[in-house]
Amino acid sequence: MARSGTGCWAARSSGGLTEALGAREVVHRGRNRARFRSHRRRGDARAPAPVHDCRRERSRRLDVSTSSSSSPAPSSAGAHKFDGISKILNQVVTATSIPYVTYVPEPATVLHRLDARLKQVLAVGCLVVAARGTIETRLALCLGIGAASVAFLPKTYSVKQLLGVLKLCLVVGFFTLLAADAVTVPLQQRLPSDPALLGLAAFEDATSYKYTFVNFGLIKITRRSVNLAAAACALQFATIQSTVMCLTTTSPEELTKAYTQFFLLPLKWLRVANVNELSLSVLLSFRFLGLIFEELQNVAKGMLARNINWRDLKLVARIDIGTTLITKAVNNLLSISNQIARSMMVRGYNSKSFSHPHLVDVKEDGGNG
Amino acid sequence: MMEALSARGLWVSRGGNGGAASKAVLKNVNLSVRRGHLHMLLGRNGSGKSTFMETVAGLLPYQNGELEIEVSPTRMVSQNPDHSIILPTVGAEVAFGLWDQALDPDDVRERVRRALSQVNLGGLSEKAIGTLSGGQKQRLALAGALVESPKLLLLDEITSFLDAENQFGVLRTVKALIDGDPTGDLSALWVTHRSEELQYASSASLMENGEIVGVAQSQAEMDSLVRQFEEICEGQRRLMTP
Repeated sequence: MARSGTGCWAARSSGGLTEALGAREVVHRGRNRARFRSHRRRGDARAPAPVHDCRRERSRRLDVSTSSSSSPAPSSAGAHKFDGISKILNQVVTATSIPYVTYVPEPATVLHRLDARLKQVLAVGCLVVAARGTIETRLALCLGIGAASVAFLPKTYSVKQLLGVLKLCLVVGFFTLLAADAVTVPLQQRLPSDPALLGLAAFEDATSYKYTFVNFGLIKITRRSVNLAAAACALQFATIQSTVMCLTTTSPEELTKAYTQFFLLPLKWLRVANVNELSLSVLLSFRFLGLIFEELQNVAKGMLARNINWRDLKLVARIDIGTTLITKAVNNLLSISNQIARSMMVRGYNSKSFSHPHLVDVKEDGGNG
Repeated sequence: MMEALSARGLWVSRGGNGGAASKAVLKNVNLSVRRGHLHMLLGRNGSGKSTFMETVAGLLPYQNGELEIEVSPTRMVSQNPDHSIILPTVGAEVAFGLWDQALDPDDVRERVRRALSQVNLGGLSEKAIGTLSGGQKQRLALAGALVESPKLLLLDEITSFLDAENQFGVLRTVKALIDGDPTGDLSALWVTHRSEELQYASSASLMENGEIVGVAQSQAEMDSLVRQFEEICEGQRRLMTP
């Protein structure tokens, strides 16, 4: 591994599998490109003959071994773009499921002690406010949820997770802002039928009110697009963050119990649905949240382990690799579902008579784990 | 009757919808597991061990022969713990098997606590499955079987995904459970391809190409069974080497 230069920083910062598998090539290519560029800039026909550099030799060998074509060195921006793919995959591989889908019993916070039903009501309330509120209310809601996350959840995972959600919401908000009014709807011009009314002096607005804030042709930001972007951001933030807060501070059993033994109780009274079956379905879906996360990690590992040279691939090939691995992940999930179904059968499960009143109520007394 | 399980002349075919194209995977298998024994079924990959296990568990039908399971209930734990674990947290997972028993909530909690402490997972009932290590998951799968107080455990290569420490940890746990069973009725059929695990077995059988080719009734006979297994592996290696 190189010990100096920007490439080294890139490799170190990406860490993990990329460092072991792919980043080394990127580092060497980066250094060679810099050298060629410096000669070209000088416009130097007398540029010194290349000095024998064992590091460069090694980098060439690496290039040959990993690249199937003799394509010219890509631009720096292109290289960074494909570094980004590896970086994202690396982040998926090294992420833990804790901030997203896993219940974290310790350290117990105020939110852990709150009734699961109340938490579910609060989460739904957040969604309603985010969907129906004004911009100010939405902003206050998001700030409130963010502050509650930082205050009540352990900092070890809450801050990083919160920043991730924030970034995602800002990206969605930004594109909504640009796209909401980008395409103007063609309207038929409607002029007054009375010719006397034509040719009136243009109405001059003396107020500071503006419907359109920015208008650069395709890029048009209006009051409507700002409102829409704020709604999209707030709704997304409230949905993800309130769900994360519920999931990390409430055990799946408590959530299921609140859901099926309180909110769905009318269904039981009316004998519309088998609430016991529903509680099992909800618990199974919680189990699958973790499995899906693990399978996504497996896909990312598969991509990194193959050390794919993204630069040499055409878009179709990239999509092909992606779909192949995602298909594999879905097949694996179906296979695991099949195995779990077999396991349920082995443990005597019979859907016709399933009833497990205590399934959502199992806690060891005095457990210290 | 001293036997927990006995199979005589068992034939099982797979594929081809049971027609002429189906292939016999188990051929005339004779095997018995005595009560209170940890019986190990040793064999190479693809020798038919797991098929035998699935047949005993009732997941596969057999075409010929006799299969008698004298004890009840029987519970199976499969190779990959992720495939055995059904629910998202430790406590609910262990309690799942009790669904068809009319028990008080206190009884359920007590049985879950006991099963978890039997496999050294006491105090972890609230833990999410995703936060457990491979060894802990395999112990949990075992606790899920134990909570139903089974009399015969079917353990299908449950140490395959474990490192040496966890492998022998799980093995010692099972051995201790069988030896410590007050009724002396708890038995286990342990499928493995690792001959070093036989040091914990009460008795063992060697399977090759769907047939039982060797039996050891006590520890004294294990060495010859292991040698026989190594010879089979060596012969296979020679066949594979160009």
